[in-house]
Amino acid sequence: MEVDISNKTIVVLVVLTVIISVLSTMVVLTEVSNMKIDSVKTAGSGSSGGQGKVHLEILPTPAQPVGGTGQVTLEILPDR
Amino acid sequence: MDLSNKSLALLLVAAIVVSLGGTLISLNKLNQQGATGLAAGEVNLTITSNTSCNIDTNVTFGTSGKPGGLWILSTNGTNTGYGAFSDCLATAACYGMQINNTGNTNINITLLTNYNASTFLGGPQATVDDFQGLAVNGTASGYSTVRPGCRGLNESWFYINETVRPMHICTNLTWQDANDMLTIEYNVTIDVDTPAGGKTATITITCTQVA
Repeated sequence: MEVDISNKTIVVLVVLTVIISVLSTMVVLTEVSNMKIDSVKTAGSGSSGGQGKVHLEILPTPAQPVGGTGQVTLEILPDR
Repeated sequence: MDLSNKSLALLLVAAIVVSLGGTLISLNKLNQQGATGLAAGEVNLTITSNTSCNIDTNVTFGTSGKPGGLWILSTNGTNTGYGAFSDCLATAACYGMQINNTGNTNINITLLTNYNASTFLGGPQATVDDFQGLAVNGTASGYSTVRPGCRGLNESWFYINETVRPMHICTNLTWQDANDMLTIEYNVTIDVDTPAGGKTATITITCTQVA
């Protein structure tokens, strides 16, 4: 007759399954967090191979004169 | 149906394998996304320079009867005692002519007019000094302290004269909002011979980008 596995062994396997599952979740979460930070660092420093470029250009326009008109006014009433 | 411990053990081992496999697949996917996040980015920003200016205020000395003597009206004076003409220190309508650099470049300002004292005021006694201008820094109400923007301004009275074309007011009025204003004050002298009537001088201000 074939010998069955003991309950003790089953308990050990259950505990092992839970531990591995929890550890795996923690590893994945840690990697996700690290990946976000790495992305920011890379954009800022470029130390990991990524680079960001910002071009700023101020274009001159033809120097066309502009302006406007104003008025200086006064009124002198006639003698009464 | 009861499962044997052996079957339960197999299921648990399978659960462990699935958990480890899932973790590995997740990490692999995250690494691939991480590589994508390292791609270079580029931002282009183009600003076009803009030369623009505005005359914020006209000058109105007001209305009065004929002068009994020599009356000197000024936009930076009270004009007290000169009939009913306005107190230009208190009446915004006769503050000096404010010029505002509304663009994003420094500008050179010149003045053109077809008038002089004789053609503006009329009468046989009008002389060249009866119609004068004075460039001062800043706004009309604040002078020199509020938004002064003209570099190297020579603050001295000049004759308004159509033969000087153009009259140079300011060679470099800056554009930053805190320092982008200039005011032209006006001084008009009238006397008993100045003809009655409405008198208007049109002043043309031209703004050119400083090279």
